[in-house]
Amino acid sequence: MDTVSFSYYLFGYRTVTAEAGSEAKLASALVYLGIGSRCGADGSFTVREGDVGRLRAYLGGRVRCSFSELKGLPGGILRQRHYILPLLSFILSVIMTVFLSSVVWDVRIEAEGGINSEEIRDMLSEIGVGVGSGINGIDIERTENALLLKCEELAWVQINRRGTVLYVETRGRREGGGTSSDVPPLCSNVIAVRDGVIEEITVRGGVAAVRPGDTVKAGDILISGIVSNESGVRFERAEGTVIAHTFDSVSASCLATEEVESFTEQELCSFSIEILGKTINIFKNYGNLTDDCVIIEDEEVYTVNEDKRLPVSVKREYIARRVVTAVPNAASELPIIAGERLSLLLALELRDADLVKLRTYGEYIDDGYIITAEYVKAENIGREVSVDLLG
Amino acid sequence: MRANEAASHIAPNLSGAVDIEIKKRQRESACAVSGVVAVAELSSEAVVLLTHRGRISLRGSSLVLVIYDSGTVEVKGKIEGVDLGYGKF
Repeated sequence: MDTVSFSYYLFGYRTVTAEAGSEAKLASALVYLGIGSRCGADGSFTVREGDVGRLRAYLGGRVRCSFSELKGLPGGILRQRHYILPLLSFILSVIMTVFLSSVVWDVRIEAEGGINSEEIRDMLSEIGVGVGSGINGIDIERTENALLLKCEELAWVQINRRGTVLYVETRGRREGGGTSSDVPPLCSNVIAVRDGVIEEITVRGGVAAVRPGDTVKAGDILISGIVSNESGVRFERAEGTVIAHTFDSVSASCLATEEVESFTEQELCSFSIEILGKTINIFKNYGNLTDDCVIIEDEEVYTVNEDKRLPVSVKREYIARRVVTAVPNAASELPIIAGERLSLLLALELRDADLVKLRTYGEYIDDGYIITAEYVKAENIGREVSVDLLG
Repeated sequence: MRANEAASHIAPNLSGAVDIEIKKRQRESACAVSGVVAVAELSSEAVVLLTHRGRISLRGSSLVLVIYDSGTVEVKGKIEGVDLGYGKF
């Protein structure tokens, strides 16, 4: 078989065979059309697939020729198309495996000493290290040093890589002077956070400074950590529970005409996929965005075994337009609506206390109705405050 | 003599009209002719090329035709003889 050039194989070619005695006519047609060709030993001509159409159109019925099936790479793909999909899938999976194994999939941070892992993650992303970063481009020693320079509160950093996961361990510095939240104070008092009448006091450390029945104001010492004894003064940590009756009031109202805010049906305006830190925008159409519009963001994340989040997420944004409607309230309904609102407020106020006494009263005002509740509740009013012994 | 010189000497009609180049390789020869407008005869023993000014006939064995996009036609094989003729195509 005569050899053909590489371009013929790459783009495909056909073998054209003229009927006996018409080889010269076929050759003339090729010369006339300026179609490069090669005549084989069997008298057939090899023509590029891109020129076959022109040749067919010119020859018409003048010269009887037979055209072979498509040969070369395109012909091979066409004949083997049933196997192409699995082959392409295999090739794609190999490419993805090679590519995805060269980027960071996850960064696991273990932070101690006053710095949380989110702060460490933000600092790492500022340095250029995070999910999606190329593994080969990460210099671990340089990253550790950059992190220590970036955050003065860090005392120690260690970064390890296992596969496509980075493990970052950090330890923060302990601040000198005063007390940190992790170390209990050497000396403290329990003071009142609001005015009240002491009902019950339970001392677990220090000495009580008030008795049941005493009226205290906010800031008064309830349990003292400075204890006098025969040899002098002892400093210790004040601990205990101080229950007092406190007084307060809360009001709620309902207007005769109230503006009710509602939103139109949400319209999808943006759809994007985030893979390994890279965002791919699929669709974005905000239309006419006005001040009355709100954008609602929704992110769908995927996890494995309910605790490991995959570096793939789908983000959607919806537009909803704010609509304000004036709703009239009947006069007879005003006290009911105001009462419901008052109940909600009271529930919030009494969530950490016991109600002792309650008095409510309401009245119609010019544009609606107002209801007020005055109440007495029993609550723990003590709060520990450390004493700075060094002054 | 170069092929063109020989052609212009033998067939003045072809002088300046065609460009003939003959190369001899190890086992075969190749004759490239530009300015070809048609192929009058094509077989493994004989190839006749026509130009506006005359014809070029090649005799031999295992002759193969190669047509280039530029219009140059090359005849390869064991070329035993080349005849240059008169006549307008």
